[in-house]
Amino acid sequence: MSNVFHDIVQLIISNFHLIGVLALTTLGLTLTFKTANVANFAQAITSTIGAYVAGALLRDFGFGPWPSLFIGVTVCFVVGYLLDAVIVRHVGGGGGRIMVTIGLIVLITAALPLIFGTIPYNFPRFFKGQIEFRMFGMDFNVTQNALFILLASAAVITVIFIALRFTKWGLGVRGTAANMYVASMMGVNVNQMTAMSWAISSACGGLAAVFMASQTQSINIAMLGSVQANSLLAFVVGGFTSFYGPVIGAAIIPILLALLAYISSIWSSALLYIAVMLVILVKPSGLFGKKTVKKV
Amino acid sequence: MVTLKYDYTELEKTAKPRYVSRTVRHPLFGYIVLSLVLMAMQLLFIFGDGIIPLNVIQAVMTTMIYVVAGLGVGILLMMAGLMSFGTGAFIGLGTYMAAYVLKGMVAPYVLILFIVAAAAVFIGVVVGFISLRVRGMHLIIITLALATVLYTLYYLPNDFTGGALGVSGVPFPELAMVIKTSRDTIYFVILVVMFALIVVTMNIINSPMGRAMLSMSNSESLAQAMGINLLKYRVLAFVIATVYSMLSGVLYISYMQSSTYSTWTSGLAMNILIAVILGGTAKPAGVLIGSFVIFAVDYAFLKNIEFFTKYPQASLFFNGIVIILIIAKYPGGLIRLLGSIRNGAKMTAAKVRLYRYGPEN
Amino acid sequence: MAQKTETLMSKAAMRRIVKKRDKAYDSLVFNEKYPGVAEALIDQKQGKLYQQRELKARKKLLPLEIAALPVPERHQVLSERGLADLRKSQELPRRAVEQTYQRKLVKSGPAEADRYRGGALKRLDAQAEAKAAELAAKYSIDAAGAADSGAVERFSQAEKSELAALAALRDAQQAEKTRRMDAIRARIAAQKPKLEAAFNEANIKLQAAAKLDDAAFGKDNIFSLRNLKMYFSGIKAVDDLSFDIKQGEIFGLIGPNGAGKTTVFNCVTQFYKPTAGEIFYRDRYGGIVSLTDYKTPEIVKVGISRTFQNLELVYWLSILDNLLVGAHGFYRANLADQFLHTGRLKREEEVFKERAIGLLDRLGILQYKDMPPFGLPYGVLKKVELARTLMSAPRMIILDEPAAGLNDAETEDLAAIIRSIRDDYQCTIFLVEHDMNLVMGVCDTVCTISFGKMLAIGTPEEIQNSKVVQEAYLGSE
Repeated sequence: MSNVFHDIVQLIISNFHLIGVLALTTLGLTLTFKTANVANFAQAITSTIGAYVAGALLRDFGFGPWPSLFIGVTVCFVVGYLLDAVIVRHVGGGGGRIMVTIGLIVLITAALPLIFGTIPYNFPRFFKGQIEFRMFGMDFNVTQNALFILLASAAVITVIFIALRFTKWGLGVRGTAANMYVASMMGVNVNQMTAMSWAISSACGGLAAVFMASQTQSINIAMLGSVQANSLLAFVVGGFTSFYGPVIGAAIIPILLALLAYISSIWSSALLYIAVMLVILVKPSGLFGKKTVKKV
Repeated sequence: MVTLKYDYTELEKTAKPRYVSRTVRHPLFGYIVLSLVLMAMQLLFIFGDGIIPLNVIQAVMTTMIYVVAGLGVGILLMMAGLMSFGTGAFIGLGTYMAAYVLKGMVAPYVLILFIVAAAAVFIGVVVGFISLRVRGMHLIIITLALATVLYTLYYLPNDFTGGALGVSGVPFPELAMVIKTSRDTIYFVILVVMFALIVVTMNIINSPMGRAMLSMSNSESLAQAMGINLLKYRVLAFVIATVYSMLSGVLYISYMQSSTYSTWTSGLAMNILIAVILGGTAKPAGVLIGSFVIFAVDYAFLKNIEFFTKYPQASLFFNGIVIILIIAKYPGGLIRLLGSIRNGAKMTAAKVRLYRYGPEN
Repeated sequence: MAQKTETLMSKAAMRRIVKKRDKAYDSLVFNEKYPGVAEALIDQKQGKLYQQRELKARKKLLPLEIAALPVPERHQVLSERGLADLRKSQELPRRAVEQTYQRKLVKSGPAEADRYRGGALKRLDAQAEAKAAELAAKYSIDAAGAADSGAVERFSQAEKSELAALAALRDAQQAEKTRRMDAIRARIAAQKPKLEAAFNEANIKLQAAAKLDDAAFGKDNIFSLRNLKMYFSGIKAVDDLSFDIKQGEIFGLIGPNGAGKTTVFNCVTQFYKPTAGEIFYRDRYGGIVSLTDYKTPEIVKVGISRTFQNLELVYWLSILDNLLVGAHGFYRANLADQFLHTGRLKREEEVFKERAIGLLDRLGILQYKDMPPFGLPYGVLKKVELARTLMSAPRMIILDEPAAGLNDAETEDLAAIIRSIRDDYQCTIFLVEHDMNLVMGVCDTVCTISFGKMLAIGTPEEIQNSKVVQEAYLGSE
């Protein structure tokens, strides 16, 4: 019995980096959904741009991992801003915007190999060590890098939440999320808020992508494929009426995945999806969401 | 002044026979012409010895197969306003079911279509009932989740789907137990099925149920006040989409003779969605044009250009640009774009007339 | 109150019987209307064909007729026709010359323009003169002579045969029409007893199960709200509200903002299920039903049709199709009919289309019938909504703030329309409104509510003079 417990906890611990990456991506998804009213299906692929830029800087231009990370994230920030300013803002309607993000998937998936070539890049871990520790009388180990990713993501998310709560930008974003028209009437520059949210969400994604790259030590076009799907799940399971719901959802999904993987490794993703479907069917507003009342 | 008994200047104004314009304006006229052209193409391919290259025929075939699924998605998305990412998985299910029947026994093709359609009705009803409970984003995610579950099931080792290897070597179907089809003749079967479904789609759009779906996607409270049962029409929309998708799967396996899990991703569903959105309407014309751009242009034409063989990603890249441009600039889709081009031409002609002859008095 | 407490059948069983009865009734209504529509359509189609045939015959006969004329007349006719052709062919060139002249006037001054026009017109005139001379030479007026007997013979023969053919066509059409109409009438007559029996059987069952009898409901009443309560998690939106509406009345429900007017509407149309209370209604068969037994989409079939506060039209459908949406619940064509567009669906569409066109014509907006609602004036769209409610042949129409967004002239127009709808279609009208001019001008009875409670009910004058109402609107001093 304790063996089972150990294995499961170890699985969760070795998924630490996944929790961080997923939480960052999901927060990005939530930001764009609340402001631009679009589920950004291209979140992951846009983030991959950051990873590619970082990888290219590291390999071809001799930058260190940290400056590469910084520049990669900055590029993502700019790309996110431009995506809203140039494309998404000009598309009306939620359905159309979702389709634009799907178009972006096609576009970026094709563009990245054209620009960076088809050979996968490598990326080193930021911290190379392994931490071993005892808990509940059992031995566990975790890579320093994974722990770092979890902590760094938590820090970034905390900063963004503080910013949402206490800065003028945060107030604007919350206002836009509550009601775009009222917010614009009250003098909030909605376009600016939305574009900034895209930029920040994309930067979060970029950070997540580089983190993922550093953990798996490789960069390729499909590196965030499952992260995109899982962050969408986290997004609805957590309930997107609030900002914190999806992030909690993002923490739950990898843990659930670890549990399910213990039951059956090939069935784990199918079981996860079935579990999520059941949750949504039972509680359509998500685990931490509020129910909205429709007015006739 | 002599009065003539049989002067027809007055009568001519009201009683001009309009056989030609009536035929041309018939809603199905364009589709019949298109079908005849496609039929002629295949005949040319079979007997014409290299006039029509093989890759063009293959591209047309693929397009026709996905058009069938696209018609269903068009009704679901453009009429009922529901987005589903499950199409790819359902096409896959159709292929596996048809393969199972085709390999196991000799059955008339129509019967296979019916068996698969019946199964599709059942699945569509289940999805439709789920869709009544969740809306918008949630529904999209549910269909995405469903697609992934099915994808995983196809991938897992089992006899039905053949696991990672997939099913292959499926024999060509026999029509009415007598006529054995081949790679050449199956084209006509696909064409006939596509045409029949185009007719049914037009009927759906122009019937009370089409209007009911449109009103439902417009405003649910309006629909209810007008006596439209939301449950019925949501389920119906999903049933139609699922039946079309799975029939498309049957056509796929009859032509390709094999089916592997890796084809039936949500990526395929996205491509079909994009095709429908590019067309911009549930009308078959839109789906046809959109599917042609997404599934055929690349394979039939661009493959012959050196630049695109050197950079295979480039055609996808341009596809992406076209998709984004169309959605951003022409939310009405390619059909609306063609319509506005036609209107533009008409307007230019009117302007020229005005410039030359002055206003009508 | 002689309210029957026991329910004789379950709700599900009741719904089933109701569905059966409604289908029988709809069939009867359809059968009554269809022959007229079918006859008009046959007439239209046959008339067109006949005209085309007549045109063909005339095209054939006219040259023969001309040839059979005596020489002077023949020449006159031929030269006249030649000149008319010439005029027609010169019309466009002359317009082009005029247009060019106007342009030249601006660009190169009057002298140059005049020179151009003079030259161009001269050329055209010369052409015309030449043609006229040619015609005059060919068909000289002075020429005398009787008609060519051969030509007269040919003409009279051709005339006889063509007229005979036309008469034969007319007879054939008449026979065809009689045959088809007889077939239709026979089919309808055959269906009638069965449908009537089905309808009566269901209706008797339902009336036996009615919760309320006629006396308790009130003989003149069509609608009765009894102790309606609607609470939203503690908020009493409607609190113990009761009133009756008489048949053929225009009943106004007014009250300050947030008084619960729209909530009452939504309870009536079952968008909300009332917390407590009963809503009784006399359906289109004269029976008394409790609306809370029905689901939202079934309300329109009971005979209550509503409009919405903000326009709810389907923007991707034409105005005509929008009206057809209003008749949705009354189609009997099943899904197979709709997939395959069988004759049954087509016949129903014809009947409903005819009704829709009649309504649009009645409201004076027929010219918009094929347009989508995009960009049409607000007043027109309001009328479309009204017409749509009438598509279901309702006995009571619920109007949710019909005057919202209309200017004074349009509001007055609306008042007239509301009154005429009441008179022409024997409807009862129940409206919620802010616009006091409309309410006081059009309503027979006005009910004022505030915070979900009844303040006063009476004629518009009584309400205007009521102290309680004034206080609620203006606040007490």
